[in-house]
Amino acid sequence: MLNIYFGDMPEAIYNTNIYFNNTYKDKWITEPLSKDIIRNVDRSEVIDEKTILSPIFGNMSPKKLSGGVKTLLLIAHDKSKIFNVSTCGDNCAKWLLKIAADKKVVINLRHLMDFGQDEFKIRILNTGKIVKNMGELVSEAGKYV
Amino acid sequence: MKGIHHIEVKNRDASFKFDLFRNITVIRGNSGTGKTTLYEMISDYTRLGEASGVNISCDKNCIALIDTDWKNQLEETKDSIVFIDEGAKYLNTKEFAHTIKATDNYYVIFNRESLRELPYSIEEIYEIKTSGKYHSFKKIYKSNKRHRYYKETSPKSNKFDTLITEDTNSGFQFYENYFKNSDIKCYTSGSNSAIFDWLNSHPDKNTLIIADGAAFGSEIDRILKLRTSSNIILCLPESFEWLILKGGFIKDENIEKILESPSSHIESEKYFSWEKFFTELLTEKSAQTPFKYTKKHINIIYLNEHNSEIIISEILNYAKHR
Repeated sequence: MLNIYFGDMPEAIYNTNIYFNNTYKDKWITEPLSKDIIRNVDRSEVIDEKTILSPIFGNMSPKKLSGGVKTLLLIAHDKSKIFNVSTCGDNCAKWLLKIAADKKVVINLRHLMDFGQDEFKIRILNTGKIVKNMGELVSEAGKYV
Repeated sequence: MKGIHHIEVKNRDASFKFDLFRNITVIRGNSGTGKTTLYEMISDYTRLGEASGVNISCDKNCIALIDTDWKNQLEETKDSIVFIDEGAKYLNTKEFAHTIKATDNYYVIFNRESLRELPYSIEEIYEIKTSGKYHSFKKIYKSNKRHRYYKETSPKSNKFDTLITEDTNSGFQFYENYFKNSDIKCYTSGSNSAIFDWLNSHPDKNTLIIADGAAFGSEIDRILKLRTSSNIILCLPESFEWLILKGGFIKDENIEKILESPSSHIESEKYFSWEKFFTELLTEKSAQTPFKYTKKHINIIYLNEHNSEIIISEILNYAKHR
């Protein structure tokens, strides 16, 4: 399940862009989930672990992926840290829910990401409450952002 | 700095064109739309100038805030347009707000956080619209002619039983007087940030929120997302003083020119937010007239039926509400 701490969280990695560039592993890039995320969010195709085909830049390094994709890949692969997910747009929300579908994932959000109209299950770590839709999430977490 | 500034940033891969209207512009939106690309192009230009291969066209110097010692870099930056990446943790601090307050720069900030220390306008929050290699800025929040703000679709209902404003002085006194013989109850939240808590604890009310759009940028996201659980109408004219100036009570040819093009008249170094400018303008221009305005107590001349209808007609189709 997705667990979110809203607001300032000093121990979270704030600049996920720099952290990704200096820590990511080549094998992350070619995993099926990573390929799907890169295709959906950045509209780019993974060629191999060092090459991604972007509609704008042509062949590029994984370091040129968007900040949102880098953060999703960190959450999917690096369990040792908590990441600032306000580097992700709303188009990353469904991927956060997917990554956390069968494991505990803890993230830090400093804004109210839109998780869509469907039902979901997210624990708000500030209060311990589990929310099931955006109305409940905004009402419970809005005061922390 | 004042005025509207057109900027074009290009390299072999991407081309960005946009205009800036005020001292603070905030860029949000989906991932993968080009925010980092734009920031990195300006960073390259800041380091190497034309030798970077990036082409920038603008009547002002454009720089990226790249130093870890950002205060030092800002001290040496005058009359420029400053771009700040979302990785800058200091953006949310009082120290940053205090530092940029008295500068004559415009700031373009890539960030999704509320940034409550900065008084930015709901009009200057954008996402990047992309068509192939071409990118432009698109406003995230739309409004109708009565200054009702929304994100996707215009609110269908105009009915409300409660009015809340952040104003505790003249503005609140005006609305309270206007609705005194109606079923509509008026409240003041005391601050912009307290509006959310008030709405959250009164989900049963049909509420009209009236606040200063000039400084409501940090609140609009969470208030509009509350629509999923509340019946809320968000009305955001520039400020209460702007509404009075729009009413045309004070005859001064400069006021009309200023209201037509505020960007051309409001110096960012002097006014951190446009609401301060309009308060000062109204106070100064009305001082020697029967319409003398003070922020603390509303002049009763604005409360008579004729004048209050002129003011309210900018934001409400009043006949339906009294």
